[in-house]
Amino acid sequence: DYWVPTCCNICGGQCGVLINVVNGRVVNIVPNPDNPNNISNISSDFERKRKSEGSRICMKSKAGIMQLYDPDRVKQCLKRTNPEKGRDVDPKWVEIPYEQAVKEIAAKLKEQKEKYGPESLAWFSEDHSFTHIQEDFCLVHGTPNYMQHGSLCDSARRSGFTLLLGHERPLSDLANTKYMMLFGWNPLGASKWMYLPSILIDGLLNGAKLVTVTPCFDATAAKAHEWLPIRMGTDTALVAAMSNVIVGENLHDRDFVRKWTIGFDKYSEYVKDKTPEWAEPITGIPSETIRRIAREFAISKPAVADIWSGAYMNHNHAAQVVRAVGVLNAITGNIDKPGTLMIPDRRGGVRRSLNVPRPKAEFIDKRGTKYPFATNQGVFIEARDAMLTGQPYQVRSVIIVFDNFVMTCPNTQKSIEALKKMEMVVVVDTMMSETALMADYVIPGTTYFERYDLNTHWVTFPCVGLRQPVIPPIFGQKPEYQFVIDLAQEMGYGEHFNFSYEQYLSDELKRGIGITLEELKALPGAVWIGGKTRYEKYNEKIVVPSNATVDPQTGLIIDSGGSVIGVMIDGDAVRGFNTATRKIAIYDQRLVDKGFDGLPVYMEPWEKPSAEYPFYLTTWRDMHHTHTRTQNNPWLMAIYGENSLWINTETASKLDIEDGDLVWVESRVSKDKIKAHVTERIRPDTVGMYRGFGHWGFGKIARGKGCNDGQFLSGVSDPISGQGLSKGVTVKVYKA
Amino acid sequence: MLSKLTKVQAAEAPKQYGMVIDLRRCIGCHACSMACKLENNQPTGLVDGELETPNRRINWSIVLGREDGEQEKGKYPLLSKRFLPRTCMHCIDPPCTKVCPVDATYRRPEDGIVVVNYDRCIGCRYCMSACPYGARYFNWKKPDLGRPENPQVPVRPVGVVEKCTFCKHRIERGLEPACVETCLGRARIFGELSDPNSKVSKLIRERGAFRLLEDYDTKPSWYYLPW
Repeated sequence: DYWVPTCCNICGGQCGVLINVVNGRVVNIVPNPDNPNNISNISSDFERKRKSEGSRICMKSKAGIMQLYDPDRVKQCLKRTNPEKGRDVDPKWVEIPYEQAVKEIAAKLKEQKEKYGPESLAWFSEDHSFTHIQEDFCLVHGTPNYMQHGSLCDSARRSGFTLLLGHERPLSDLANTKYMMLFGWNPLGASKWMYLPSILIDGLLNGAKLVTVTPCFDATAAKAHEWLPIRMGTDTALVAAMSNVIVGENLHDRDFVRKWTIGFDKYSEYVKDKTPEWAEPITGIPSETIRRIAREFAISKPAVADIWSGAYMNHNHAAQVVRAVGVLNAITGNIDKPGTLMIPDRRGGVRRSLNVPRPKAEFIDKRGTKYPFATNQGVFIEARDAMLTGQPYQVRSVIIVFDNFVMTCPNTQKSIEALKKMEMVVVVDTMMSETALMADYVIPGTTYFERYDLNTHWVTFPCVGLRQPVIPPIFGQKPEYQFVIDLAQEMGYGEHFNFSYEQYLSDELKRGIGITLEELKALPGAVWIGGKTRYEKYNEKIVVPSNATVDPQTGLIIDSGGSVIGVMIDGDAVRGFNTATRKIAIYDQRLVDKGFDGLPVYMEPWEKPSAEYPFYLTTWRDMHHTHTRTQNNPWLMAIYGENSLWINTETASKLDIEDGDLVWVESRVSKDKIKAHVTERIRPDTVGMYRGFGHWGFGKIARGKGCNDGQFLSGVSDPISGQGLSKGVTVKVYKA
Repeated sequence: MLSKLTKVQAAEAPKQYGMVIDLRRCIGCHACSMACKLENNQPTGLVDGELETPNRRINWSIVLGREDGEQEKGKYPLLSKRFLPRTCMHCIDPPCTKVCPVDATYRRPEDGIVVVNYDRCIGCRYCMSACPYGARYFNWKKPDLGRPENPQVPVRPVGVVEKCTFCKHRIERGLEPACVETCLGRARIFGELSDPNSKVSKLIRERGAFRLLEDYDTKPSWYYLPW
């Protein structure tokens, strides 16, 4: 009978848990009291609240035991014997030993490497678990085509904020703010880290005003003071109009803008005619409301405006939407101060540098070229399309680890066709997902109870949490990273993969934070904390080396090696922001150089309603489920077991649709049936559904419940960041 | 015999545990419900691999108002939606204990927790009819846990009634009930109503509180602090 501290992974939040194991079986899951992810993103609040209130985990985390003991889990390696592939085709699996699977997969990869070049292998995975070793394999093999799921998730936010203020993951200090304006973010529903609901409620009870900008009245709206039901894809218009008021009425932080931003003059000029009256017909929000909110936001100190998927996943210049919201904070001086948008100080394990030549072939997903500001996670949709078109070259094999590509990569039909074209599909997953059903080989995966990961946490101070196996893999299966190591050895790459994974992780930890894996295990809660939250880091003074130069025009401080290490502000040598100018780039020359707007301008969204397709289709996530992963979990399905199409009451009556009626939803690429839920909680020009349903794989509980949202999307990516757009496609709705 | 027991039950217990729910803090997230389910060996609730019908499911702790269509008021775009957690009220004058023909369910004299003795329960379900809060559940079949049992809590057999125990097995070890431990909004506060200086007593005095179905005079030990 023992308890193991580890990190949950039923969603990507990776909150801390303590797992009770009795007689080799998991019997209970409680919050880990030492993990800041569960408590607060500010170090002083974390220290205080861990004593006064303790830690917390969500409904999914408690129900996680059913992911571990799901009777429909893949237990053995499976090989397809039916050469035909398709949605309702029986693969006719036979069970094969693990060693045989590894041998056969390696043999095929070797053959294709010889015949077509190593770049003919494309590898897709999730974006935090054991990604480094998968990257290593691809590098050694010689393929540049390793894609992590960021482009289905927060690539636009990463790219947008990296461009704007030099950090890919700023975090809002909601607990200590006086005004929260949230664009497309539902922290009380899609609560990725358990501190989120806690700090939001703390902020509210401390007197903060909460304004939420989103087409649906979600759980956050239920606690908000004001819900602004914005027309999809028009958040940049709202921001421009707010800035029009803030700058026009001189409510901006003149000193902060002067010292720390580039391009304010151009921005002022741009917003001069973007009045609230201009924005009203675009956004659907009354001009007086926009004017009032702008004043409130500018005058409240501190205030924070933040943005997540809901606001950018529906816009073909997604990264600009992120920049726009970021600019609201910049012009009001709400950056890296208590109660504002914080720039985290993150440290974690550091991936080894492999001394092997870089792959010669170009990326199939055109990151860096067609998508000049895409993150190194790549562009899923472009990669998928390349598999279909054979341009720039034909991918022959694909390995998909911990990702349900078929349902989550926009345009389900295209994903299925792309996989059909492959000579070999290898899927590593715990469940017989829709993607696994298209595979030639399925390798059983591990749940988070059964493996290691390192979690660099979502807080503003350096923190690393350990995920460690609490029991050995229950079917004796090899963890995903072991499969990678074994495959590498079978391929003849053994010299680069001659270690245990524990050693690999330990080396990463030593490189990054100076401790070993065993030392991390021994820390309270298996969590390493390496410092406190620091504020106004951009204003931290730096020591200028004697051989450094200062550019008189830009103030940039450049060391003898040519690297920019800081900037002169009002006579002081300070750190600045991690951008080319060391300032916040309201106007960004780098974007202009690549043919985009230097300012976060308003652009019309990628699709607008037409006579034939009159409604925007939105999707959302909520507390009960993680994308397409949890719909076979009976505890979660008992509470939310089927998605329905939310239709505004007025709209429904015009279409003669009543609550509970079966309706067709039809986009340009697909149509499907779903039950209607007639409600006041959504814009009349918008319909929406909870994402993740409509399974035909996984298991009996998941199958046939609700409708798959991924099928309605054509598959569009933001040209700046490669962000895949999963909302905002237009549809028609009619009774079935 | 029965009347003597009733008199003892109705008398003031030396200690009275109670729960305070701060409705400003509740976000309707169901963490409490799942924590209870996991901690207390509640069945997974499958029949032939499919979820059983809602009225047969055993969920000691539920949250009202969170799901589609519940507790929604107003017209677009001026709307409101409220959440209300509900578990056994551990009434000080419980209607359920009065109707049990075999004294299987009773209010503990030492702390006011209303419990079920699973060995005595004959499954007549009079108590379920008597409870106005719908807080009691029946094992219509042998419960399927679907996962290993938590050895700290007994697994109930077919044919008995079960409900919230205020996690007495945790309280005995100085821990809070599982639902309280993990509440995301810190909306659940557990403590001794009988102690005027406890956090629960102070909150009730300072914020004002209401109880559900006050005029049934069940005297619940659950208090709600208004929105």
